[in-house]
Amino acid sequence: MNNIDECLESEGQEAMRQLVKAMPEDSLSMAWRSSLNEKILVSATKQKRRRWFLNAMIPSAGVTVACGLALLVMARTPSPTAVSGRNFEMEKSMVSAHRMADVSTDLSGAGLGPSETSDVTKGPSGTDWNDEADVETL
Amino acid sequence: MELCIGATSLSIGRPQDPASEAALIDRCRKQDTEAFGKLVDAYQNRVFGFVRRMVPNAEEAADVTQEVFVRAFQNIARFDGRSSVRTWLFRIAYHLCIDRARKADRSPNEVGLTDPGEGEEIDVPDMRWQPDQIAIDTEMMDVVEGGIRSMSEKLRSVLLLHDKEDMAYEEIAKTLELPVGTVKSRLFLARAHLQNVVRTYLETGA
Repeated sequence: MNNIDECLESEGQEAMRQLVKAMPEDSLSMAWRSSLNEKILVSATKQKRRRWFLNAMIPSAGVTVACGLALLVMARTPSPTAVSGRNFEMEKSMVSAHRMADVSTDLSGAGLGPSETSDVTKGPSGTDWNDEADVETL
Repeated sequence: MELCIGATSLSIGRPQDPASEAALIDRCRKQDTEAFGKLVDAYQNRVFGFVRRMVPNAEEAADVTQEVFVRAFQNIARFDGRSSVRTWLFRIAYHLCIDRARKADRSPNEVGLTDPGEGEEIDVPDMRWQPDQIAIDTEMMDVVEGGIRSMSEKLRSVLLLHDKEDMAYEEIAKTLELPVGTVKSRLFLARAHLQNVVRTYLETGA
């Protein structure tokens, strides 16, 4: 069987081909076709329903999942918690330091403006307090 | 979109040309049952002819043929057009037949893929020159049908697709998902088996 193509073209093989070809054709009844039509219509209806379900349910499911996630995130947001004892002490000291600074500012005022000050290194009548001679006289 | 049952008689057994078939497939993809009905008209008898010789009885063959078309309708959106509709339909049919055969777990005395024997001459009268005799000899047809039924599905499918459906080797290879060489060797073995059956019939006094 060196060349399969030659074998297939031999007379005996060709005769079998003719025999098979000559076998009678088959046909199906109208009842069969009618039954097939019904099955196809049922299948088409199911597919339509499935498509509608997917078209309607996928966006709905997406929105539902998004809402659920949003609720979950909101529920998990941390609420204000009490500060522990040590930190509370520190806070107290910080507050009291701030209050003291506030009180001292109230007492001393905001301070004098530049126009309200004078050069203290000079005497009341232009005396130079730094003058060596005058210093020695004191 | 109602199925046009009455249209069956218009184009039964006449496959469309490739362009109109492609247009028909496009319509079928949109779940147009009328277009699918035309496709059924074109292929129902051919598919049935194949299936009837692949399953034990005609009633089961009719059921399988219906299943072929229902599956085709359900999956037509996945049909990419790389092969012809005929190849696709016969592939579905072949797989359904094989599934049925496996479920039934039959074939105790089927002919396997064994070589008929090297050097063994099978002398069968050449009937190409007696077409009338072939056509009218229903007894011979029964013998041939019996011979085909006694083959394994592997041999039978190749023989039917090539010799009955006039499919090319490459198309059969696509349909059955086999190498072309395997298709040829199976065809040879199938015909050789049929030759043996016919010779036995002739020798035992037809």
